[in-house]
Parts: sequence; structure tokens; C-alpha cells
Amino acid sequence: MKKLFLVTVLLITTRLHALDKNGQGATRTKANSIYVFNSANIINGIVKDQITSPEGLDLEIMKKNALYQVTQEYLEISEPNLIRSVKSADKIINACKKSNEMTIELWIESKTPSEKLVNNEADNLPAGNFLQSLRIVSLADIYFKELRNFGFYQGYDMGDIYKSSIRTSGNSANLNGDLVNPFRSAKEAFTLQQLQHLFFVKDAGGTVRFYTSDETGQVSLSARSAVNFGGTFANWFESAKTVTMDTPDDSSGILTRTTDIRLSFANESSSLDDFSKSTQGGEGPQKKSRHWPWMGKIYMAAIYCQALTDNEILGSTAPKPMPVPQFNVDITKSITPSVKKAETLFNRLNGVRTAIDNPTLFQMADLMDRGQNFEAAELATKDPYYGHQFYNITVKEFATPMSTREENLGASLNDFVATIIGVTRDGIDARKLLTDNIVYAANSSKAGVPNNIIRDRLTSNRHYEALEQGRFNLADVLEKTTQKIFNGSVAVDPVETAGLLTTRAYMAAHAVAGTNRRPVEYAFRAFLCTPIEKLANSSGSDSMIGRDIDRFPGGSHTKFTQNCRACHTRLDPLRGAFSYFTFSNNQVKHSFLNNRLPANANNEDMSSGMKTGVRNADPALTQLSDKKNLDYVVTKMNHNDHVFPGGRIVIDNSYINTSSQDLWGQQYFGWRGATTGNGVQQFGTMIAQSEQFSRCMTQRVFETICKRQPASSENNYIQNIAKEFETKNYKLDYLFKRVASSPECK
Amino acid sequence: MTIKKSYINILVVIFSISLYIIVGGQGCSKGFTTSTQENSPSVIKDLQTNLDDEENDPNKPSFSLVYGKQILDHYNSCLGYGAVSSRTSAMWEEKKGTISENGKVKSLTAPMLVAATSIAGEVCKDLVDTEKNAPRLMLGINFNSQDLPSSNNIKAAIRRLARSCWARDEDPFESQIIEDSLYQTFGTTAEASKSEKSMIYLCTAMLSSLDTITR
Repeated sequence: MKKLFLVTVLLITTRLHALDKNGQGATRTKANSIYVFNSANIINGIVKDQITSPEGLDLEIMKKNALYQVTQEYLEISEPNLIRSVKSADKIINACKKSNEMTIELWIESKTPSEKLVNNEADNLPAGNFLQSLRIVSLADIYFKELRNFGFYQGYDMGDIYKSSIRTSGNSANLNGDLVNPFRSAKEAFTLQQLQHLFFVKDAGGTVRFYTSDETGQVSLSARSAVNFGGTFANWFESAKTVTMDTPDDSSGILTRTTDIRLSFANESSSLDDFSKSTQGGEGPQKKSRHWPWMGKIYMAAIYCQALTDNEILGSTAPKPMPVPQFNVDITKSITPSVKKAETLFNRLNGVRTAIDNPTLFQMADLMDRGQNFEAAELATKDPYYGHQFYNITVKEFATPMSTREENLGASLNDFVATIIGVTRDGIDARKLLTDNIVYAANSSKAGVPNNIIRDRLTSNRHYEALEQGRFNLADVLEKTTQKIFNGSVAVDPVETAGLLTTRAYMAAHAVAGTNRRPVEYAFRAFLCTPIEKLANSSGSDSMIGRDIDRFPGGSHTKFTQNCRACHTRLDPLRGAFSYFTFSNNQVKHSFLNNRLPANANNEDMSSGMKTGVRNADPALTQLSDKKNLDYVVTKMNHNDHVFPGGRIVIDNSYINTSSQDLWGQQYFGWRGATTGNGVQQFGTMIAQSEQFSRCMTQRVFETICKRQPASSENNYIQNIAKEFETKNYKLDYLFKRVASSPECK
Repeated sequence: MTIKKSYINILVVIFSISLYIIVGGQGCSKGFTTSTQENSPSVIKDLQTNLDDEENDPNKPSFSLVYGKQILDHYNSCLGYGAVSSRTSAMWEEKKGTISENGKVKSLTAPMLVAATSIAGEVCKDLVDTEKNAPRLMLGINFNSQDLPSSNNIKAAIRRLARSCWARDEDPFESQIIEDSLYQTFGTTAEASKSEKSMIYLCTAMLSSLDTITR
């Protein structure tokens, strides 16, 4: 019983991050001000600052007649109000100017969408065209709103977001004196009417980190950015300084005043004079407002003039520091050619350079001197300091170009790349990458990143982007799981999966809009190293080509036969495999699971993307022998039917691989097994079982590791390694080490 | 001269040296386009090979450049100094977009070198901060000194950095170029933090050279 209690306590404490709703926690001693907005701490409209050394900075609820409620847990603001420090916030200004760092920690629940509470501040725009952010907390002058040091807001960017601006020497203000280059969170980070634990952190280096909690209370890194807030707080405004500026509403012209910088919640510090103004965007031109009320429940707020660390905020789910090598450099030790060769092998496998005095290199050199190059490669990838970089850098570099249309290395981490990394790490047969219901994501107990399956993985790439931004060790945090599909309400098991081919990244790259020819084209390009130009067959039949392809472009059939047919004769018979898939509204859709309109609807609506493109009145319908699955074929497969009505109608997810019907195709691809079938899973199996798949993986690994394309004289070498790859059960980690340790990879 | 201005000047000089090292071949091989020396320890000749080859020649060594996402790990790994400061992290975030996105040798540009130099400068500042407490690569340096370190200590630091990030011993000519430029840049007048700044300079020059940013 005692043990159970201790375990329970431990579990609870490991989930606590920084401060709880009562302002208690490990970081309390670091805070400059802590406010607990409950009935125990709000007396006569005064919110006591819990940090009284060197002095307290109490807050006052300024609109006592406005509708608000103080409970034992929170302060609920139901009408526009302002909760402002009773005096200048000198203690915060002075401390933060010294450190050039700050953290805002909040427990809040936003109540009203910002659309409902926007205020039209724009001088030259019609009312309602300019959305102002609602002030959750800010540090600004009580009269001139331009004199603001920081603000944390509920903003709007095609939906509610969190937003923050900080005055720094590297972040200029616009002509109105307003701060520019604000930080903007993703829409997914903001949740209306749900308690959220938020951290906005700016460190001395200028990096901003933003953390939010999800519906389970788990805090995760939401964004990390370094583009906005470089420089120091040297230009922060201070109180008791004389300033001369335009009056806010231009009624009195220029005005000279003494500054009074206050900490405020739920509105701008200077908003009191403007409470009579509308919050609905009804102001006319030239009338400026300082009234941007935030409404909702506020439980706790803490201001730190320190940048809290990942560990302080995320606890056990913070990125683990990578091991630090401390090699003693012996400047007298000679560097033998073997050690130099070992260093090259090490560098190529792990993607980073190590000091020549790394003891692993000397062990590798010994092995290489004995002809054990593969064993040396294994040693490199098991190096205690750098072994993880084999996955984090090299395998990632191998996978990333395959995951996007642009095929560049700069693409964000995504489910496609993570899955290849995971499969390589776990020694899983690489064919499963194209056939199985498999995807890799971070273990939530190891990585504090957004991990709501619908919001962060199925309808956005937030989960993977945060993993990358947080510089988590992918080799450590990724775990195997199964794919899901969002049916509009919940995440459900998919009807058909094909590993990478049905990942969100692949579908986002290739199945968005279009005609579902691109998923086929890029399957050949990525996994068979065969661009469409090579796959094309100018003598192929056009009987399988869709109705959307003009057979007489510009009135010339010759043009069709010369320019169009060669590619379409290959792609069109295969694209049926993807007939039930599309990607729209940021998510993969499958017509068995996502909403469809009634069969054969006449009204094509591409935005739904989930209904057949064949019209009821289409005479071709009567000639179709099997129409039972036609309703599931996505619109884009059959749209533009008027272009060539005699073309092929896609009636289901069957496909035919025409390259298996000619000698070139048979020899080049080495098809093994069925070359016709139904759906992406069978399509993926066909690709993965071909000889060219093994050769392509070998070629891609060679290019990644050896930094060049294999020469034509090395075809036999590639073929031989590909065969070895197959005999080793298609293990990618074997392939990397085998290629890296071969003499061809100089 | 303010410290900030001083650092800017240093970066300008380092960038010039980097260009000189690339174009001039670090003094130990002929120029970029005429390199013929078989025994050059630098990567210049190989770079020439990679640039010239439209065809892939399996008999020649090949390599690529570090790319934007990787460069910080690359620097950090070879120096092995541990945690990256927030300042360095911010510089990397700001500049990584200017570094080659694909690592292809032909993507090497002057702005990329400037960006690599900027990141290297911050990484080297981190290194020097670490070395002040636990010297490993810059032994015997008094970082508080207003003078340059001794020639022997400079040479030893160059050797250790070369073994760390060039994976080889430096050539005597390379050592001489770096040392000469230190004397040229910092002069003989005593100056606050001169020793520290000179070590940051030295490290940055070496980290922004092609030998470090190729792989």
C-alpha cells in the first residue's frame, strides 16, 4: 500500500511542470511575480503578488461593475475588464532588462473567439477588416499603447491563435510604434473553452519557445523559433520618463506625459479611456482604440525574468541532452592512412565529423586493416557518442527527399521520414515500408511534443515538426504504431494501408487535388528510382487513358501520340490503385470512411473530393459492367469527362501494370508476383517485391553515403549489393553499412 | 572600438580568409581552378573534381557540403564541447536557411560561407567559454590576457582544432596563414579580452573553412 502510494505520488509529480494552478511548484523561487486568481487571493478587487521580495506588485480589477466572478479556483471575466498593477512594474522591468530573458506562464481558459471581439484599429481600412489581438497579458504604458514592452495575446490568423510581441533591440517597431514581427502559434495550439497551461519563453540568445498543454493536461513543446526576438531588452520603456507623442485618438494633437509602465491582464494597460468604444470593429477611420479585452477564466499567472528550460517545463519528456564526447587530443600522435579511412567511414555513416582522436576510429582502423570493413561500419554506428546520429542525420537524409514533391533535404520531419528511421532502427524488412499498416511517432512519455492523433498527426504535421524543432533524439523517442484515418469525427482504423504510400506526408505531397497520377509517378520515382521519362512508353496503347486527357490537343492527334500517350499509357492504368484516396482539408481521406455524397451526383464538387465524377446522365454509365464500387471512386479520377468522353472511366481501385507486358519493363523492373490487383496495399506489394526496388534502395543509400550517383560501370556492384540486401531480409541498416564499407564508396 | 564592432570586424576578416582559403587553396595547393598538387592535404583538389565531373567517376573521392539542418550538429560534434548556447541556437535558426539545402558541392555560394562563418563564430564563442573552465583544445591560454597567446600555444590550438574538425593535422602553411592573420588583425597593442577574441577568431576561421564544412 505504501509502495502504491509512493508510485502514485511519483506519477503525479512527474506530470507537474513548473507551477500548478495555485502557483506552487519547482520554479516558484525563480518567478518575479506570481498571481493566483482565486477567492483566497483576491480581496476587495486586489490580486496579491505572491512574490513580495524585493517588493510585491499587486493587481487591481479596474472595472468592478463589469461582470466577473471569483471562485475558489479562478477569476472568470465575462465582460470587458482590465486587471492592472497598482503601480509601475519597475521590479519586472529592471530584472528583465538585466537578464534579457523572460517567461510567461499561464493557466487560462479563453472563452470567446477573437472574431467576436475584434476591434478595428486600421486607419485606412473599412471597419472589420483589421483584427486586433486580445490582450491576455501585457507590460505597457497606461496612456500611450505604443509604449509596450511585451504582450501575450489571443490573436487571429484564419482561426484563433496565441501571439506574442516583445520589444527587443533586434525587433523594430512600425511607424505607429507598435511592435512588429510577432510570434504566432499554430492554430492547433489554441483551444477555446478548455483549460490550458501555457509557457512563452524568450532566452537571451533570442530564441522563443512556446509550450501548451493538451486536453489531457500534458504540456508539450509547440513551437521553437529564433527569427523574431534577437537582441536585448535595453530599449524597454521605463516609468517616470517624459515622452511626447500623438494622442491616441488624435483629438488633442501632440501630448507630453510621464510614462507609467504597468503589468496588465485581460486588456491593454491604457484601455480605460476607451471602454466606451465598440469592440465589434465599428470604429471609423482615424479613431484609434486601446480597448482589446480578453475574456475567459484565469487561474494563475507567473512572470519570470529568466528563460525556463525544457527540463523545468517538460520534466521527463524534455529533449535529452546528447552525450558529450571529451576526447583528449594528442597532438603528437600520427594519423595513419587507416585511421583517416576509418574517419571517412565514420563521417559518412553518422553524418557528423568526429575528432581524429576518437578511440572508436582507432578500433575501426584495426578492423579495416584486417579487412573487416563491415564490422568497422557497425562499430561506427554503435559509437556511444555519435551512433544515434546515424538515424538522426544519415537515415533522415536518405528518407527526406523521398517524402516531398520537391525532393529536397530542407523539408520538415514528417510521418514518412519518421517511419523509415524507425524501420531502419528496428531492423524491419524494408518491403513492409510499402505494404504494412505501419507508421512511427514519438512515444509521449519520452518526447514532450503535441501528440493528439487527430489534431497533431492526422490533420497537421505539428507532432513531427515539434520533434524536429525540439531537436529530440529520434533514434530514442520514435515508436512503431498503426496508421489511422480521421473520418471527420474520430480517428478510425483505415480500410487499406500501404506503409509510406498512405502516410500523411506522401498523400499531402502527391494526392492533393490533381488526378491521382502523381502518387503513381512518385512511387516509381522514389522506390524504383525511375522517373516518368524513363517509364514512358511511346508505343503503348491509349485504351486505358482517362477521359480528361485530350486525344487531339490543339487539334492534333500526332501531338497526343508524341507528347502525351507515352506517360499516360503507363500512369493511367496504375492510378486506379489510389481511386479511393484523396488529400484535402489537411488530411488523408478514404471514400469508405469519409463523407460521400449520394451516388452519381451530377454536381461535381472538388472541395469534397469524395464522390464520383461520373454524371447520372452519362451514356457511358449504361455500358459499365461493374458499377458497385463506382460510388467510392473520388471525383478527380473521372472529372473533366467532356475532354474525351470515350476515354476510360475508373470504376474501382483495380490497376494494371502495363510495364509488365513488355520486355523492357519485365527486364528493367524485374517484377515478381502479381502485376494487376486492387488498391494501394497490393500496389505497394508489387513495387516492393520487384528487383528494381532492391536496386533502387541500394542506389539511394549509395548516393546518401557515398555522395555521388553510381556510375554506369558500377551497375553490377549495385545489383550484387541489392541481392545481398534481399538475402539479409531487406534490412536497411545492413544496406547502409554494407555500402559504406565497400571500396566503391571512397 | 566597442566589442560588437570588434566582432564584426573579426567576422569580416574571417570571411575574407575563408574566401582566400577557398580560392587560394590554403596556400598549399594551387588555385581553385588549377590545382594539380597530388599531395595537397586540403579538399580543394577534390572539390575541383566534384565540380568538374558531370559524370560520376568512381575512381575519384567524392563528398558533399554540410547542409543547413546539419551544420550545427557537425560543428558541435567535431569540437565536442557539449550543450549549445541559446545564442548559438538562435544564430543557427537564423542562418540555416542560407546554408546549402541539399549539400551539393555546386550549391556553395558566398552567402553560404558568410552564414557558416556566423554560426561558426557563435559555436567558437561557446567553445571558448567552455575552455575557460575546462581547457582541452586550447591549453595554456590565459583568456583574460590583453595580449595574444604565445606562438607555441597558438600553434598547439591550431593543431588540436585541426585534429578535431579537419580530421587531420594542419599543414605548416595553413598554420602560418592563420597565425599571421591573427597578428595582422589584432596587432601588438594590448586590448581588453584580446586573447579570448583571438581564440574565437582562430576557431572561427578554421570552422568556416571547406575542410570543416565538407563531408
